[in-house]
Amino acid sequence: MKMLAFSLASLWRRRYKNLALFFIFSLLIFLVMSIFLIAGSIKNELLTTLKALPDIYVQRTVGGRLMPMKIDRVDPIEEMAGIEWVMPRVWGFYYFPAAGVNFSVIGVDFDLGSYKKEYNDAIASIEAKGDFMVVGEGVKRILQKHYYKDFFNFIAPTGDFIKVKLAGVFSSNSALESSDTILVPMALARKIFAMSEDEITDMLIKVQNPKEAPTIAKNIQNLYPDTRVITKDDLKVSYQNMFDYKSGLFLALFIGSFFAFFVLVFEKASSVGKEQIKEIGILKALGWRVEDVLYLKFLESAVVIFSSFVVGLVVSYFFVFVLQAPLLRDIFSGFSVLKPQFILKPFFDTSLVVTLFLIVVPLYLAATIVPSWRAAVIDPEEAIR
Amino acid sequence: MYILPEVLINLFLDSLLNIFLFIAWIAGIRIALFFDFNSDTPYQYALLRQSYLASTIAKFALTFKIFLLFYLIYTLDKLSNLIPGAMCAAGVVSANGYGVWLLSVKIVNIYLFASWLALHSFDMQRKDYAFTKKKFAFFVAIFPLVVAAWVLEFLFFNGLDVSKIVSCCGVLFAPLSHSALALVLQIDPKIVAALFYLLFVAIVLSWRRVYLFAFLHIVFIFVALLGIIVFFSPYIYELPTHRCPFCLLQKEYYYIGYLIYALLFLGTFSAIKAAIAKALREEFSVKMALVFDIVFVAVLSYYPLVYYMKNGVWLL
Amino acid sequence: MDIIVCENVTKIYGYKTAKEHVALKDVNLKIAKGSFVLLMGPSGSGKSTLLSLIASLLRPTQGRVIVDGEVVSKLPDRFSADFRRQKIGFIFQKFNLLEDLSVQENVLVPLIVSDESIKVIEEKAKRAMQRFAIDHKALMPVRKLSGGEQQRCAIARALVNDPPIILADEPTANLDDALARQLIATLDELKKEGKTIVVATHDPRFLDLDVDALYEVKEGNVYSA
Repeated sequence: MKMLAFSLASLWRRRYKNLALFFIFSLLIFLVMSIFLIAGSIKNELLTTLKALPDIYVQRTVGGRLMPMKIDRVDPIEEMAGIEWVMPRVWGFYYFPAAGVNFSVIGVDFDLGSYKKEYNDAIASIEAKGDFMVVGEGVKRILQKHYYKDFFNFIAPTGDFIKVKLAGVFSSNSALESSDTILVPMALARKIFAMSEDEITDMLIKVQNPKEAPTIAKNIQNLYPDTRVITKDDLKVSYQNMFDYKSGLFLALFIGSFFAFFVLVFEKASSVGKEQIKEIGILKALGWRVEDVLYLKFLESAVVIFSSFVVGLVVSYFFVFVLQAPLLRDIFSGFSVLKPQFILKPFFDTSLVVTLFLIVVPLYLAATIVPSWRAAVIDPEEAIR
Repeated sequence: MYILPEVLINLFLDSLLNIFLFIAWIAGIRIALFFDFNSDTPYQYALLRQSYLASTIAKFALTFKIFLLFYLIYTLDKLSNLIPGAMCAAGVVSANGYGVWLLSVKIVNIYLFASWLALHSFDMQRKDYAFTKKKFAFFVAIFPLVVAAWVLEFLFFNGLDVSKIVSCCGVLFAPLSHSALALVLQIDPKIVAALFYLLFVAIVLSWRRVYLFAFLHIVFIFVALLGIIVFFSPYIYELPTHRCPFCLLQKEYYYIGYLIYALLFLGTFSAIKAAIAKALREEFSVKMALVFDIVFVAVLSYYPLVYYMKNGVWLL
Repeated sequence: MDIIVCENVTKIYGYKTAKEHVALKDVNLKIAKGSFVLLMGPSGSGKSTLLSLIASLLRPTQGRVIVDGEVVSKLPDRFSADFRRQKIGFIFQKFNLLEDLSVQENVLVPLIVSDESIKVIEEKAKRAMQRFAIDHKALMPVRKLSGGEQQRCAIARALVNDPPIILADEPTANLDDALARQLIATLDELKKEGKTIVVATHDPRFLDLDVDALYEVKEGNVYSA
């Protein structure tokens, strides 16, 4: 208590220097935390998408490229043991040059329903005829920006225009999905991608027991050796790899800049000397132990670092989730082909905060306590002289 | 090599601390060899100063390392999300040949570190540097283990392969597999539980005989781990077939594992510290150890008791 | 009984470096309890160093210093800090006050790290300030005080713990004649209270006092005079 009052008085005496430190640290914590939050939010977003995915994907590859396959492959797979249902799909990316955006155009059987609840809800109330589409909210925004109020002209690979009515809009849990997905009837999807009547892009499979997925995947692979069979777990791991790798890379970068910063602070702190050294010398001459001096310095540092930490944390949450991270999110948009707007959804991850804390605290301790300690172990006589 | 932020932090902090420890080690060798309190020579005064600096460095680095072990365990647990087949840290540890060694050396190390810290704290209470030479000789001796743990850590993380499928704890701790571990696991859980509680009673009764008290605690470390695996963990998971010392570290079980292992460490180590104190003719009460033991046993016993009260039957 | 004993004490600054400077050479010295001792000599002769060694503000390069039966030259940090706080009142030549702190805070500094309660230490500080007539400026920052007031504040701080040994390094150097005589009188008074007093000075006014021992310090050697 006595010491805390003394340390606050001592902080107050050097208020300009301490305010500067406080700002630098708040900024640093804010930056790092923002990057973690953006990465984490995008990751959560993708995991939400992944969760809704079926257990197994079946694609056909020729020469390493994805190719359509014949629809007659569906029945033999459907008859294999352990399979609940098989859903053939026709879909692809459609590049819209005016906006510089890739849409996912997904063919849906409007009479039968789809594997995805959102899609089913979206098409339930639609009673349109001919060429029509149901789009995500984000897609609608993009279209309107380019003056497509209630229709859109697809250009087929043959060069023909296909005029498609906008029949409805759906909203999705996943911001990414709602900003790039266009649902169209199967026949129209084939027309847009110039596929023949008996071709499909890929198949989705739901199995009865998810733990059996790897075995079933192997059986499908054996049945059609030219297919690539991907289980949900494969996808999950590779996504997680990608994101952790990205944020790991960023972390490496930040450890680098932290280190530079640390060298700077250390340089400054160890040269600060004279006045500080003398003060510590006087304290020691008057009967303070080294640990008393360090305790004082610790209290001073703790006040600065804790307030910076809290402020940095709060500001980064505000910046990322309220302001949607202007500027910074552009760094991350590189890894998604999706240029359309998506919304960063708030989340809280204790381990993130703990991790950041563990980086900041040792460095800050090193940068402030070590120089004080070095000053404190000098014989007081030499410090005062 | 697998770049996960937590892995980087582990390696970074460990390396940083080891650099400091290395500096202390160099000074430690000189002090262990040449320190002589009764001498008034310039060299002795230089050693006096160095011993202060080196032991301060060692004190902070070793204390930090004890906490870092818990962070390492957390990291292993986190890795289990990424390594196919692993449901918890058990699978990750068994992902390559270094895992078990890494964990074993690290656990032995924290007991050694804590012993060093105990020795240091007794030394700091003395005006005549009675234990300074011993303290540094001990430090110099355990430093190779620090390096070993560090090398193992690099080898382990470097050898992690996310495309290789590992076993989950259900397989590793199943009593039917054919390993040395399985042999121990085949012991009837009731016998293990009986052993656990008997040993606990013996510990409480032996509190006057400090050396016996400490020895029983060392035995207790193993019995308690075995007890957790075969007897207590099924109650924590409420699943008779689920035996695992790692899953209880997860969020689903409110991270109770960290509390359990921290209590086990604090209890057993306090007993060891009491024995060290007695050997050095210093004061350290066994009360601390007893308090941690009792809380530890109470926390563990809570699970089977509550299960029995809720369901009216025992699991095993 | 000797309260201060120096055995073969040598102090070399920057030992084994290019800037090596010998301050004390093989000094042997004994000071009896309750005595008033003068160390006379020109500046740079090593008398300040000797005081610092006795106060455990400095470790010797060789030899040992024993104060009150304890080898203070080898005390571990925490014990030497306690020793300084409890046994030594040091009056510095340049006062060494913490300039930005108030008088009261300066006087409190040695007490903050003790185990006593805030109430007790504030009472002690108050008494010390009253004794040296500085209590009316208790809340004023030290840098706004005059030289004499600063000196009184420094003495109040040195004596707030009621130490048995008082060491003073050139205490009159920064004072005018009246203040200097006043200070000498104060030290004499403290001696009469039974405290051991060692003053390093080259001020001849101290010679008017009835001192118990007088040593001459010259180029790192101490001679009895």
